[in-house]
Amino acid sequence: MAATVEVALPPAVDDDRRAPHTRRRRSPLLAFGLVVLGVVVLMAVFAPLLTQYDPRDPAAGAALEQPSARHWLGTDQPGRDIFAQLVYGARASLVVALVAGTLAMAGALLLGVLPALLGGATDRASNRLVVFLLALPGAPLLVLIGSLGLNGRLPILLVIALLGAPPNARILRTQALSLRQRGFIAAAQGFGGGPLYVLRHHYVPGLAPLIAVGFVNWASVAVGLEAGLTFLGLGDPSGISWGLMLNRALAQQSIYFSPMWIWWVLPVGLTLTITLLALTVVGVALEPAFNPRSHTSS
Amino acid sequence: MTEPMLLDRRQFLLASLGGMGALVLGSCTQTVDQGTGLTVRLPQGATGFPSPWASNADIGYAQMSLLYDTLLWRDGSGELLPWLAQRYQSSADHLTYTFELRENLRWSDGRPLTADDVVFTFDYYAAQGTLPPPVIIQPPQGIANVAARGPSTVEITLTRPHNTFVGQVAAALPIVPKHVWASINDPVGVDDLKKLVGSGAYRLREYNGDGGAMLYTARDDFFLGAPFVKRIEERAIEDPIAALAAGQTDAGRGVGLRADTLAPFANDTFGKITEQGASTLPLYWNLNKEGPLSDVRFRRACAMAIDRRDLVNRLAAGRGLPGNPGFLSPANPFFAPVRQYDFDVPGAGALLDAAGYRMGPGGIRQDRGQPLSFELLISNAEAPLSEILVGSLRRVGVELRPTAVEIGPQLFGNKLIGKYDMAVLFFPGPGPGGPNTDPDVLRVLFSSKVEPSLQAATAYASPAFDDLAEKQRLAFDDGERKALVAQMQQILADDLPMLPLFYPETVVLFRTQVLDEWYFTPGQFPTLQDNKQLFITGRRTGTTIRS
Amino acid sequence: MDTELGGRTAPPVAGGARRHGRRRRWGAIASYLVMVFALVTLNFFLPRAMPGNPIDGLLGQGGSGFSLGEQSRASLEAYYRLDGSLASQYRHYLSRLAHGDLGRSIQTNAPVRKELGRRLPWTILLVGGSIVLATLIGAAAGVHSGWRRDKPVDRALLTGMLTIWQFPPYLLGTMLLFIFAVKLRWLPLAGARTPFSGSLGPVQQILDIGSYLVLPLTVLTAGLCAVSYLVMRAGMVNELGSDYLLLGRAKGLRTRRLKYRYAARNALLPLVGLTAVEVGSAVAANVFVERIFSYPGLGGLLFQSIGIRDYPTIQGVFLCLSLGVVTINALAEVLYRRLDPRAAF
Repeated sequence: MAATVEVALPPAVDDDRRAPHTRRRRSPLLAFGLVVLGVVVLMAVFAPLLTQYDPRDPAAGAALEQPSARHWLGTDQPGRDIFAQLVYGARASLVVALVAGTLAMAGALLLGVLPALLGGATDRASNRLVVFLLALPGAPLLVLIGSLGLNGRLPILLVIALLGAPPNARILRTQALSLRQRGFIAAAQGFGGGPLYVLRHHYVPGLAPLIAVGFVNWASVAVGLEAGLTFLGLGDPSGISWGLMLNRALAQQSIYFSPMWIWWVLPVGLTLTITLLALTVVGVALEPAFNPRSHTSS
Repeated sequence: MTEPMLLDRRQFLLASLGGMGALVLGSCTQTVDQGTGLTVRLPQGATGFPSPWASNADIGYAQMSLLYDTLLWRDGSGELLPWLAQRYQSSADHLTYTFELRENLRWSDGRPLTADDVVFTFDYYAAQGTLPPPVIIQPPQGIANVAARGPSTVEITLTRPHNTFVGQVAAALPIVPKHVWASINDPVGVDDLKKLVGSGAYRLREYNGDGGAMLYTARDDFFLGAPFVKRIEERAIEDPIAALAAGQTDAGRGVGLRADTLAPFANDTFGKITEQGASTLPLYWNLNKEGPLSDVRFRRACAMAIDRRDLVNRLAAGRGLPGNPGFLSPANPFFAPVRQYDFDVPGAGALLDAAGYRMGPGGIRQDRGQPLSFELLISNAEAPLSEILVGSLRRVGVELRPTAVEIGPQLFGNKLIGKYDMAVLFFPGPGPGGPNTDPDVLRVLFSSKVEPSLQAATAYASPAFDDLAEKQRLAFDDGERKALVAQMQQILADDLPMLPLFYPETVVLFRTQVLDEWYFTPGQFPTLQDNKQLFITGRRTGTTIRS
Repeated sequence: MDTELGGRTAPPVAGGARRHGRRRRWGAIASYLVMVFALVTLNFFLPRAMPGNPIDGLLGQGGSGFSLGEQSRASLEAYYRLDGSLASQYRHYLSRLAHGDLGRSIQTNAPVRKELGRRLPWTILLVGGSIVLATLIGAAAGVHSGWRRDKPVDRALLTGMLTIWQFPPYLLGTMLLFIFAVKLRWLPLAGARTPFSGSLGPVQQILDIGSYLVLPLTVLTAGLCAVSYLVMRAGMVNELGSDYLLLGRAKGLRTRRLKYRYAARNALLPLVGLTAVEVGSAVAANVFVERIFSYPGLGGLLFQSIGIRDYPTIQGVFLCLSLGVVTINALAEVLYRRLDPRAAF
């Protein structure tokens, strides 16, 4: 399972010098990531055009068919087309990525930035809360709450988002505090810029890159977590998702005794890995370009 | 500046490594005598403390029964063998049973086992009230009196005759030592290995070492002689078939296995036994609900819309039998042919039309303006079945909304209290090899005179059926009982309060070098441990120990 | 004593500052206490918020035609103390907890503390071992990668590390298990050591435990080492631009010496701060790994007990894991502050 966002942040060192340089060098990585994500988005959007089968239709074929011209990746146990599930499964992953990423960052703004701007007791209280949330053991919590999510994806999404908010809140808060302390904001206020002006012209540009990186990173964690939880049997069993496909495949008694795993387990596992890799790579590639410390340490 | 840091870090690492090592070594248990002779390794770990009151479920009962004995016990043919009792007789009115105990019976702590212990066991069970659920969840019912008539004679008087008494009480209730349990008020809470004093052929030498490993060693002073299998090792393993292939166990059990899973075992090294009807998945309709669910025409249409043969093909790799509306599997000796509701989609549609459930918007039929849309309670593990059911009923204009229940173990509280529309549950049985083989199971599941239970039909009441169910219970002649049970099955097939969907084939694969024969004990759970008579004697039948 | 918080390198503090420091330390302790109390409370209510209850869980396990009427159900509930109001159950739970009593498992009837004691060492071994291993591998690879930044070695390491990081651990686990345990039979299939191996000597026992540990440790480590790798690599990249390295090179110091003695050493610091994060994700991945390898640790126990809603066991494991994470976080913070006085907040 993937780790949290903080890990990919380089340590606090002044590296204004190398930011532009790095950005240029890393671009092939970024390009790879973006292309893969583009393909996944296309898969999700044009799923009905890519396959003639309804991924939920158990009458699409016989049970456990081998790959053929009709069923490119064969069929699963009730007889559903595996390729159709793979294509439609991209939708679940994208929804998870978007919703969990957005909710986590919204939570981070609420817990980190807003209190930092307000300052005082609010800030102290919310900081305590963030420290508490960070201390929660995420995995057991997910397993516990995940079992609430048998009949819908929402509870799992909410927990994943809840786990994503605190670490991002911490990062955003640091940045917001330093922005507040910056002379130029004070100066802007002195010159008569209203609060909205300050927000738009100073906080937004200062925070946006961090929010983007946090979003991408948490989206990747969320997709991995969702797949893992549905694999454990904690997701909505009637959904169509990659984690659920792996769950079904590995629920076959001793699937590795059969060649089935080559067209069932492997394509799903690799699609999931490559998608996660793409998200990670985009996150890593964005970071040097927007390194937060390059703004803070001057 | 970095120097102190590295030092601290190194110390930290060393300290933590050392701590880890100490913890692990400290947790290792002490030496156990190895024992020589035949060892059987089984892929099932402990599910609970193996005392008669704390052992859990089917595996737990089988594990516990290696330590404790019953008055009678079954062998591979289903015959009741003299066990603690060397003989028994019943009075002409079937109200009084007299059991004559063997003479050389000793508890594992050396004390003699006497009629007093048997009397104590029955009284103790009766005094405990409800017990957590091993196989015998309740104290034996319908027993008027149990008395010792001499040191090795026990007389049991029933309140009314019951033809399952011998099979389900005398051959199931573990006899426990009075001198251990008499002073214990909370038997469920006992978890001290020293309290596991039994008369059984094995002693528990190690329990729950790591994740439920158990080691049994043979008692050479066992009343039938020194057991054939000297040592039984059990441990929790996620995939028993892989473990057997990897050479780490001597037997493994699977349900509805694919041909490619079985292929590695199709050689002389391994033997295979199969059983149809060791378990089934019944579909329940909540008859308590107004409208279609309590309308027999609707239920019959559902039965016709589901291709039960196809379920066997898809979900059990073609190995098994389609569900029988009379509930008993065709392999059960009491099976009687009943009407079958063959797969017929147009027929199902016509039946629904005739019943007045007209097609509505979206291809869903309606009952007085209400769409035929029902919640289906089904275990998460049965998702493929759930998908097929949804698809099948959709074709005749009925919508199912699956509500998944839990990770693997069933949490079917809503089924129990009747808060559901339709449900699919796992049912162990109905035989022949496997539990609930006795046709009295029909009474327990379908009679309105029996307390509701998890697997019973909901709110089904047929006076004719109830009457037959009571009669068969008093029938001590097999032919007479068969005729009654056949009528019961016909009523069930007509009324269709519940429909077994299919009986997947249960397979046991075993290493022939270790034991060349296994069996499914009729009336017992098809766990690997239930071959107790085989472990002791090395033979399929009888009580003579192979040398 | 007061200077402890500030660390060895902290300047001597004046009286006012000392009082301030003391207050802050009490504040920190109080906030930890509040956190622990909140965890304990959450721990009670979360399992009970799940659908179903232990009585149904027990019944589902047995599976035969049990007849269980209202009265028998009530007596089972009373036996397991599930009959009172939620508030009274909570009070009972707190008072038992205050006595260090975690209750008895509904599944096994064994005291939960005993079960935790049996399983905790295995989890510590697996999780601790994988964190140490992942940090070592990640750091070594990171130093190498950072030093040769954007060279083919770096590219290959980066791609490889990220791919392994994102490969689903359960898939990796099941595949390795099939190859090494079923097909090749080099390694055992399940568990943590050969059962009933009491007659083995100490060295054999360690080897035995090691052979069971290889696969789960590999899978867990694979999912962790990318983290320290990325941090170390970034740290190295930063250090490479530092003036002292330029100076060192100008002075003609050997590359090896520069690489390990100076650059790597300075880049190590953030790894300590990373420990907390690593423990979190290791514990998470551990739930999967223990399940796949039937490893007798806490993760498997948690999953199993959730399956039948064994409240006391769920509470015990959850408490154990969360207190562990909180403690390690606190230790990491103290350690980090000690190592880097700048990091005080």
